[in-house]
Amino acid sequence: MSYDLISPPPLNPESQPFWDAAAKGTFLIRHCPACDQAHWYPRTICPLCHQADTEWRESPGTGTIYTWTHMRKSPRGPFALAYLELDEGPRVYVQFRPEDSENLEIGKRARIMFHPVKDGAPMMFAELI
Amino acid sequence: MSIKGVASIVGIYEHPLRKAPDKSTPQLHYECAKGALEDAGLTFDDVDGYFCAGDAGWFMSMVDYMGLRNLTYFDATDIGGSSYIAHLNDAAAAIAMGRCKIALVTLAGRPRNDPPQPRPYGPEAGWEMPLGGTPPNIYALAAHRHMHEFGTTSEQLAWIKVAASHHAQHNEHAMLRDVVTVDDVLNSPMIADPLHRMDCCVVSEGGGAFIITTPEIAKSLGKADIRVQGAAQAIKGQDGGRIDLTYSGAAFTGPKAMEEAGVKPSDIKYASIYDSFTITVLMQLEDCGFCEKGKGGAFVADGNLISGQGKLPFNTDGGGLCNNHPVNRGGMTKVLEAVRQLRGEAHPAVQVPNCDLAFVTGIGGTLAVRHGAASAVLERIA
Repeated sequence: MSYDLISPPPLNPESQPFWDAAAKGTFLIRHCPACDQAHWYPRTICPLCHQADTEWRESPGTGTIYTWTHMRKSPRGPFALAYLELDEGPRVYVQFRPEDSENLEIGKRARIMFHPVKDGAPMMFAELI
Repeated sequence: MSIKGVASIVGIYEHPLRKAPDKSTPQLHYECAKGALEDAGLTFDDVDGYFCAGDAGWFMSMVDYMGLRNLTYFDATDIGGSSYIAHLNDAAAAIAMGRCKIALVTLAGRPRNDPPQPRPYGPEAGWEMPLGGTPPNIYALAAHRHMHEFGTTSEQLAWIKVAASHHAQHNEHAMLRDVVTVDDVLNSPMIADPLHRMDCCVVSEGGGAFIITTPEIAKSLGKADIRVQGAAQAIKGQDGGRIDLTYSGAAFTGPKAMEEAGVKPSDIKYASIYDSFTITVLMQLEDCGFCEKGKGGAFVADGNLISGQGKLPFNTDGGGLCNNHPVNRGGMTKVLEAVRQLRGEAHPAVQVPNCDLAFVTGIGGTLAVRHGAASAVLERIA
């Protein structure tokens, strides 16, 4: 799998701060002051309690593999997808970096990282720790 | 208020083609519609309700193309391959409310000839579009978790394909007619761990259609009265990151449809279970209550889904795994085979004796990311 064959993530005004932080290597998640829960993917109004505007919080991006798969063939080569259950709670649908694709197991520890894709834009991946 | 007993399916048609290089997609919709209307003994001018999904393209254009000039009700809700089971529910509700009397539902397309359609994305696009998620790898995510939680094995999943192949051998239109074994499935190439090639459905062209109307009109047409006795639909997404992959949206729709019909899983004589992948069948069987959660592997093993052998004959046309999965959307053919079974018109080798109660359920979209589910109970009224 080559990073250059991955299209950059489409952005919008609601998601722009996430990707601005990503460009600096920082992983942000949204936290709701009303229900005190983090959610994924980031939304301004909490999708869990619908009560309040949520706040960006920095996250170490660490968690545990909830499930995974290794796609053996694709136009951009083999690649691995997973849900990473963050230590803050939410399960994040994410692609693993190619180096880890063949070593995934449910329960293994991993974390979110960023890597440039086509046109140099940062995209979110996961890596084993 | 209920839709129980208010509507009957009086016409069905499944396009015989599995590859249609010389026909357009609208033409295939039109041919399917014509086939279902002829089966019912009705004409295009009788149709006052029309239902279709994204495979029909721009809804108004399709209506205009087919010359549907008497519509008083229509809906183009798209929940992927399960849309047509939801349309059955919606059409029955519309008939119950008097919004239309004769509703047409169509599906058709040419995924082996047309350029691939871009996957639809919403506000999640930034985080999900670059991932390269496609049905095989996304359904595989659910399969792995099911194996982890419940000890489900690839051998057990393979039995679902084996059963479908036993049925497909009798269907002259089926894409894959060879009977396969558990070993054949396990030895087929790994596509997306833990799903092998034979855990995946076929990619086919063509389509299908059905006609729903009031029981009174059904009677006047002299057709077998295949009554809609219960139906339900649901959406299951990631729920803000709390997604639980051990169950599907069928956990809501299966029990609800059966409750409306006043039946239980053990009453069902035949089941059409959407089989985009083997795991799709296994999870829906559990979620609809045919077996306990987590026991789907044991339930499907040893031919339990094979007509004439097992307790729950399923997808006797060969299903999406072997027969037909037109436009990557299998809900339509699930309805059609259930109606054939209830009419006694399935292939004699797979016809369930005295089949008067059937269940249809489907998952559309992607099982482990966000999907629609729809279920229905159909009964032959003497």
